[in-house]
Amino acid sequence: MTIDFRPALPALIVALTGVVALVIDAFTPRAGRSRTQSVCLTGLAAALLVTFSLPVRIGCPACSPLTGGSVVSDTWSVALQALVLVVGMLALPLSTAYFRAIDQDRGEQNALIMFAIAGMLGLVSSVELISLFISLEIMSVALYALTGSRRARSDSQEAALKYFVTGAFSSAFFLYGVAWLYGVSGGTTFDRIASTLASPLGGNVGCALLASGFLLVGFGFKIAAVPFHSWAPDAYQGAPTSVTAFMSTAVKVAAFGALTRVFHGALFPLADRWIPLLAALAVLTMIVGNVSALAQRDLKRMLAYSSVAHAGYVMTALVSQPPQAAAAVFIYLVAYSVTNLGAFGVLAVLAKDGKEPLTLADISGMARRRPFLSAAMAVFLVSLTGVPLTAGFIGKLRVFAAAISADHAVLALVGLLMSAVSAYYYLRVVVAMYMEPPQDEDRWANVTGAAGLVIALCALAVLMLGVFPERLFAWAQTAAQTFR
Amino acid sequence: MTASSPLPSYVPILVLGAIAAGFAILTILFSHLIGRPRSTPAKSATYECGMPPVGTAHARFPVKFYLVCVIFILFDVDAAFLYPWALVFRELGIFGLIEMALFVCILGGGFAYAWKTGALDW
Repeated sequence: MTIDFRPALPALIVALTGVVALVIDAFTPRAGRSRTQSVCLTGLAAALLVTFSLPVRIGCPACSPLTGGSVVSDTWSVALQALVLVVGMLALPLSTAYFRAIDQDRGEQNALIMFAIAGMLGLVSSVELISLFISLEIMSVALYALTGSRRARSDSQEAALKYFVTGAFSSAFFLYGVAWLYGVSGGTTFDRIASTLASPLGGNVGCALLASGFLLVGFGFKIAAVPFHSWAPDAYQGAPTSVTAFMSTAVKVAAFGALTRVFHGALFPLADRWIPLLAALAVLTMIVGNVSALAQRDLKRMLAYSSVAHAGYVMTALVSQPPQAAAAVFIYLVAYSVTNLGAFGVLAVLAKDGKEPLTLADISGMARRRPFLSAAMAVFLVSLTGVPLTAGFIGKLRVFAAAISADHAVLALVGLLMSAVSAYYYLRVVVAMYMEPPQDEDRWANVTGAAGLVIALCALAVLMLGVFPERLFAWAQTAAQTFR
Repeated sequence: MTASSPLPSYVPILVLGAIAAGFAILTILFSHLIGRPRSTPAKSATYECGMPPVGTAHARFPVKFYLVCVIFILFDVDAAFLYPWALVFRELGIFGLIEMALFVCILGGGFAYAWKTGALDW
């Protein structure tokens, strides 16, 4: 019996690094400081190298998988795994800085981040529903624990409980959809499902549609699309801010990677039926996310609703044809993750003595005390709005172009209108930082070291991707070769 | 079973479900209609197999049991995989040995973590 383990190698490396990190922190004397950040970063870098050195199979997403039909290494998986790993490498220093500031640096959070990343790597490379589901659960269980890792705070516990309960609920929906698809096609691999759905289904069409609906609900919870988003604001607000930064970016990358593969790979023969549904969800998500964000006073909650809205923007791309949709999704995910990681990261690195900026008043006049950090935050917020010369603009451009090319101009129109609405709540933060008088005393941390470097790198990436997007377009083109 | 209608094979299960649900509903309905509603302390007491009930159901117990449960799962999963592995050990050969060694090492990492962080101190 031979099994090709190579496509699973990146996930295995990351998971083993997590175990090693756990043991190292258990065996070194505890001084409130974890020593595993460098170990974890090395593990992620090694996984990144392996990801790029694996043989890449270019072709349809759903034929002749490498490993007995579970996990593949193709252009889409390589691109998304690289993105997840880079986001992880950027999130780790933020996490260490934040957990030191709240005096909870116990090492476990590093291991949990590694386990979550291992799940994400599996999620974007699975071409089979069972391994997809297991990867989803590995990711989610680690994130539930991370969300509640500020144990002394009741809001962190509340966030973890809400995230766990809704997450378990959505997993049940997902699994039920898997069961129905298995019933229809007699298999769980994507190529089997796609070929069954492409043949005349007869009376089974209803079952297949039901299955697609259940899968959409399951994914909808994970990406926080609108009828299924209600956990997101509470979970993002209550979770430690560095964890919020990580889970609002990496989780969306992984979940959208898998969603694109499932719907544009396995379920594509039913595209005529699920595209209207997805379009309706996208419109709802954009409107509800942005309008709710307008009313928020808490910065983390505002950014939480904003990331709900951004899930809507990504969904508009999914209504177009596979290669174009995948390319647009990838471009948006890259732009969104560096931007959003930076925005939450700025809030996280300002934490000091267990406190952190939560409201507009907390950061008013910050530009005078921390000019560089404020400039970075302004760049992130402008990019989230989608102003030209930033990554956010490039992302929105490609996503809306994809929707228009598929004759869904209404989606692009709603997206544009809602981007205009979003300018109000994003720029309000910039106005507070630059135009309002500073607070009497300086209560926030001075940003130095690795965390500061991460913020600088994110800001630089946002500008570079915005000004010179050709490289990103080329990557996206390569990534989308899987969908042909 | 024809391809156009996969349902007939499931009809007996549906009938079984209907009979089960109907039995439950009918018993409750008839006892409600025929029986006289007369409440006594013995009737409203918690059902304890004929014994007089002792205390409430919501007894407090040490939270440490939760850790015992979690660590039990560690060994439970270990054992659950070792038994079938032992059965096919010859067919798997050296590949199976390496696989299982890796698996046990990962679980061992978890166990070492639990031990060192004091989860086993009672």
